[in-house]
Amino acid sequence: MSMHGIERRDFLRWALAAGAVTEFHEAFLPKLKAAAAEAARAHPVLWLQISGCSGCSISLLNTVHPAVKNLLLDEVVPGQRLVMHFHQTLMAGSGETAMSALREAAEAHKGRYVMVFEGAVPTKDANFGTLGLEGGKHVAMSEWVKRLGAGAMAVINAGTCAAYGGISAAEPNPTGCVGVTQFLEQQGVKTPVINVPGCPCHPDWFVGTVVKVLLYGIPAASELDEHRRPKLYFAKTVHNRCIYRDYIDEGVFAHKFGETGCMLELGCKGPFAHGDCPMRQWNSGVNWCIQANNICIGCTEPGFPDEHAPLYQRR
Amino acid sequence: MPEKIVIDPLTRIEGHLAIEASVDGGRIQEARVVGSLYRGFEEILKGREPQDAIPITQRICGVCPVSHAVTSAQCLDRALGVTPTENGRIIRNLIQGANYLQSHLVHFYQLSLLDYVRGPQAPPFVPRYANDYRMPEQTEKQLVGHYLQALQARIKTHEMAAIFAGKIPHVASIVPGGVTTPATVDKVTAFLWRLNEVQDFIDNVYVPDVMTVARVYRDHAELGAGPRNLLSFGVFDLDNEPDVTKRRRLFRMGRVKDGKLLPVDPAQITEETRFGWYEGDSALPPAKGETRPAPSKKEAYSWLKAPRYEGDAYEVGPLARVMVALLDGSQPELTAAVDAALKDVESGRTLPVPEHLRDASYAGAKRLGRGEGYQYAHDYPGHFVPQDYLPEARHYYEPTEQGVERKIKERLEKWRELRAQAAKEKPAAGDAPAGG
Repeated sequence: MSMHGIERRDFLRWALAAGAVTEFHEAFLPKLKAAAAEAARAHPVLWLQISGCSGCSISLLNTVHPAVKNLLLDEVVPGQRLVMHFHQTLMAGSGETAMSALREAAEAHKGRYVMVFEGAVPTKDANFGTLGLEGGKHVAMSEWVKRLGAGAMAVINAGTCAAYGGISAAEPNPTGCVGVTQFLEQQGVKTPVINVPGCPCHPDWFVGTVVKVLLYGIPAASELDEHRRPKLYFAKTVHNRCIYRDYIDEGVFAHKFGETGCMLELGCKGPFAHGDCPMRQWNSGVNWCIQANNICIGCTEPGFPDEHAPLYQRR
Repeated sequence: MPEKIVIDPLTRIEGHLAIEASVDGGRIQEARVVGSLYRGFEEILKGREPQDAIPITQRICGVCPVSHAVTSAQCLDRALGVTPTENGRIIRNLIQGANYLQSHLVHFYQLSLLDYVRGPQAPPFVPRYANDYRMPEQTEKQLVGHYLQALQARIKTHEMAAIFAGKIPHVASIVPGGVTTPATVDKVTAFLWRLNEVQDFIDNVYVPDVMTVARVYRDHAELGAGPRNLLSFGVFDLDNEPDVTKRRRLFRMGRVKDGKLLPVDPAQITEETRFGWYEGDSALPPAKGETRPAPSKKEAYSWLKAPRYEGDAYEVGPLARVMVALLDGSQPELTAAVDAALKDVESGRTLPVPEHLRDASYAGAKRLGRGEGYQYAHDYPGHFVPQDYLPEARHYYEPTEQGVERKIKERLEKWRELRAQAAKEKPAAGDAPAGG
C-alpha cells in the first residue's frame, strides 16, 4: 500500500502541475483534486515496440471513447488511471532518458505493471533487433522481452506479431521471429499472457482488455479462447456475422472484384478468422474490410499470413 | 578530444533508430544513423503470389501503409498490363491524400512538437530532456492544447481513408486495376465533410502553429540541413501513363542538386550495402538488390541499406516534393503560399490568438475577457458568420480554377465579400478583416 501512497502524492502533484501547464486541464481541476483525494488507482503500464511496424500504436491513437487524452491523462474509467511510463512513439525522452525511465518503472513497480508488447521477438541473432545500450553494448530485444515479461503482473500482446509472430514471422522467417507468448513459454516465464491480435489490433479490443485487467485483474481461463484471445471480441468468426451472409444462403458468389456475392471464391478468410469486425467495424465504425468489397485476410489468426496464403485464393 | 554521443533509441518516429555521433567544439564531426531492426521483407516476398505484395508490403510501416499499397498496386498494374479505371486512380489518390494529412498532423504534433514545448507533467511526456524550451508560457499552453486537439483531427483523416479503404492502418481496398470501393454518393459526402473539418483545423490551428514554431526557433532552420540534394518521385497520379517518368502527377517527379531542377532516371538509384549488416559491398538497383544478412559484419553499423542516386545521398519526402514544385512552377498556388509563409517568418513576431476564440471554460477566464463575443457559426444562416479567426488578415491558400478548387474559391470569395460588407456596416476599432 505504501507504493500506492507514493503514487497518490505523485498524482496530486501531477494533477496540479498539469492544471498549471494546460488551460485544458484547468477546467477539470476540481474533479482531479477530488479524484486525488479518492486516490484513483494508478496502474503502471509499459508499452514496448519490438519487431513490427508501429501500426498497433497508430491504431491505438484511433480510439474514440476513451480519447487518447482520456487514456493517457485522465482516469480511463472512474477510479482507474493508467500511467504509460514507456511508449517509443509517444514519449518525450529519447536515448538513455527513455531507457532509464523503462528500467526505473520496471524496478519500482515490479510485479504490478501491465506489460504491453507490440511486435514479434527476433530470435535468430541478437543483432537482428536491439534497443538501448548497457555497458556500451546494444541490448537484444529478446532480452527486454524476457526481463520485462518476467517482472510484469500481466502481459498484453497488442497485435498479431506480438501474439503469434504475424507478418514479422512470415516464411521464410528471416529473423526467426516468434510471438511473445511462445517466446515467454520457451524462457519459462510464467506471467499470465493475453493476446489481442489483429493487423493492426483494433483500439477497442486493446482498451477493453486493458480496462478489464485494471478493474478485475487477470481474466479467468474461461474468458479466453484456446489462443488466449478474449472471447468478448474473438468468440465468433467474421463469416458468422458477415454482412454478405445472405448471399451464401442464396448461393451467390463473386468471382471477380465488384461482382455481387460472397467473396469466398476470391479468397475471403472470413470463415477462418475470429473477430467482431462485422459489428464493431473500424476507424470510428465507418467501414471494414469486407464492406469495402475486399476480402478478409484473416489477420487475427495465429497462422496469419502463411496459413492463409496466397491471400487472394480460396483456401 | 571529440566526445561520443549515443542516442539509442531515437523515439517519436516509426521504426527503430539510434544515433551515434562524435562532437568536437560544439560541432558534429561524424554521425551514424543506426537502423536497429532487421525484418527481411525482400526475402518474405519472394515466391509469393504477386497480389499478396499489396497487403504484405504495407506492413512495413503503420504510419505510411498507403504509399506501400499504392506502389505495389502500380507495379502490378504494369506487370499485368492493366490500366486503372478513372475512379480507381482517383480513389487511390483520395486514400493516399487522407493518409498524407494524417502523417503531417502526427509528424508535427505527436512526433516533433515535444522537442519545442513541454507537454503535460505526466508520463509518457516526462521525463524529457533539459532542452532549449523558449516558447512564451501562454503559447506553450496553447500548443499543448493543440497537441490534444490534433489527435482528434487525425482520427478524422483516418476515417476519410477508411471510407474508401475499409480500414487503416493497413488498407483493404487497393487492388491491381484500381480499388474495390465504388465512389457512391454517401461515401463521397462523408469524405468531403470530414475533409472540411480537417481543413478548418489545418487553416486555423496547424498552419499558425507551424508558423509560431518556425518564428520562435528560426535559428533551427540553419541546423542539420542534410545533404542539400532533394528528390521527389512524384505523387497523386493525374493519368495512367505506364512509364512512371512520363506520368502526369500533382506533385511531379524531379530532383534538386546545387539548386538546379533535374530529371529523375530511376535506373540511377542504387542501394549500397558497405556499412549495412549485409554480405558484401554492393551498389545494386533495387530490382536486382540482394538481401543476405551478415549480423556480425565488422565495418557495418546499420540494418538500413543506403539508397543513393548516382552515388549521392538525397533527401526525399515533403520538403523535396515542395522544392521540386517551387522550381518547376507547376503549382502557382503552392508557390504563393510558400512565399507568404516565408515572408511571415521573416517579419518575425507571433500574434496572439484573438480573445473571443480563447478558452473560456475555466475559472477566471471571464475576468480576462476570454471567449467574449464569440459567435458560433452554425447558429447563423449558411453556417457562416463574419467573424475574425486570425489576429490579422492572412491568405496562405489561393485556390485555382481546377476541379473542386473552383468551388472552394467561390466559397472563399463569398465569405471574404460578406466579411468586407460586415466590416463596412459595423466598423469596430482594430477590427481588421481576417483571412479565411
